[in-house]
Amino acid sequence: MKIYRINALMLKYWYNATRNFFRILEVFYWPLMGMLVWGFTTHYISDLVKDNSVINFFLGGAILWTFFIVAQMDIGVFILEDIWNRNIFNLFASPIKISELIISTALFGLIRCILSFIFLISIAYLLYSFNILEIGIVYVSMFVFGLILFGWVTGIFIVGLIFRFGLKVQSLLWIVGWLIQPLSAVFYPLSSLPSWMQKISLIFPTTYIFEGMRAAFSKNIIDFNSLILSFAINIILLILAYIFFERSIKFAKKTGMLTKFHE
Amino acid sequence: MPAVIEVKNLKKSYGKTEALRGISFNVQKGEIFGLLGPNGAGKTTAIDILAGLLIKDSGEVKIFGKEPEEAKQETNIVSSLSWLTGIMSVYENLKVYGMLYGVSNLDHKINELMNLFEIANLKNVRYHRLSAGQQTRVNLCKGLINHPKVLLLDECTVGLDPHLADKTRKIIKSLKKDTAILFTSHNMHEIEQLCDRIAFLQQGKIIWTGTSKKLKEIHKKKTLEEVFIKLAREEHENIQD
Repeated sequence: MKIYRINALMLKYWYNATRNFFRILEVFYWPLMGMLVWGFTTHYISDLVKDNSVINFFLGGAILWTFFIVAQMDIGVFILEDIWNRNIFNLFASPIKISELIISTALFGLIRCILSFIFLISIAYLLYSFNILEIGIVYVSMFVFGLILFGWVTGIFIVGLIFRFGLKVQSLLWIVGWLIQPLSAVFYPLSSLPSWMQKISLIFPTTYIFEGMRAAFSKNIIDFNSLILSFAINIILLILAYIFFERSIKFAKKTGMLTKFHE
Repeated sequence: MPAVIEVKNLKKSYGKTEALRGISFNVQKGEIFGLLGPNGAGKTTAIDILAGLLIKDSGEVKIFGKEPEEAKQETNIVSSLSWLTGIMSVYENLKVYGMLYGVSNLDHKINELMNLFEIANLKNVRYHRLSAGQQTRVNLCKGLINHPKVLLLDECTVGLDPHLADKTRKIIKSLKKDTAILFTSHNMHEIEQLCDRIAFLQQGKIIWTGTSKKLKEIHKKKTLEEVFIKLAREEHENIQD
């Protein structure tokens, strides 16, 4: 692995991200939309039920969920852009390693996540006087890191599918998040789900994070065992996603899919 | 002296379609080797395998005695089918690729190449705003950014006007002293001018290897284009039979 190649790719993503108004907008637009919709909905519900803790659960969920989505989309879109630009051919003909490709997209995505995070906590504070950092910056950082990790896992996995099956499956990048969200108990406790769904939910590291967030808000306690379990699941899934991605690239080189992207 | 590029009994299929049916050739340092043949003969497949973009089914492919994947630092490719990033300027694209190959004194190298291909005035223009010919010249700059010892050129002069095509041919010729060049083109005049040896591919097989002069003599034709047409028509008739 060479640092100069990671730097080269990060520079490329910087050029791509800053040259395109819509890529800049993405960092703020989706988080802002989520915050507005959930913020006003939450205020309405909390007035109805006369319970302010609802605000913490919903807004906390909305803020944290953004990290998963941004991290997942960045891994996917940065690689997809090279396919759309018909540049993937030149990129893979260069000495770039798969690990360098993943690390550079992940690191650049991390910068965008941090920007989104600062923007979101500011908006939440200004509009709703909600401060997620009240539960402790260390705990919030752990939640955020766990969600970013899982975003990378799904992003890498979906891009792996694109290298296997072609651009016809690219929509998964925009769909999968919505499939995982209800199973991750983002806005309601795990116990609200039917028991068969709860079993599936426990596969996702995100479930432990959102349960942990609710416990932190309501009981002021952090369940470290759940966080460690979530982290362990993330690491296992990350390794599996990486292996799958590596094999998908090999598969694309074997079947000719990689060179067909530019035809 | 061992060959820089060594290809032995190379086979590649896409499903039931056999793209390469056991081809063998060598390219030495200081040599331009042309792959010639009708559409679908397997030229691009061979080049893509050498560029590490395709995995062979069987046979041996070595660049400096290494697998293509391990020789990417010394190799570069220019293909008429691939583009650079549209939203980035000419300079930015070349800078990123120069960094990917770890090129030292990169700004100097980029300026040198842009001057060579007469695109210095396009330095800050976004790639997608360039004409096809200008894009081809930027692609060529990218192909030379790492001073490759193996250069794979797949119809790299497509879209160039006669002046620039001629200039590009001269540049390619000047590079061959330190480089092994594999070249494909449908411009027979270009092949005759540039290539020291050629291999004629038909339906995934090399049916003849040697100099273009010898090929013309064998087929009793004045130009390589006439030989090409004759061989391509023979192939077409064989398929119909």
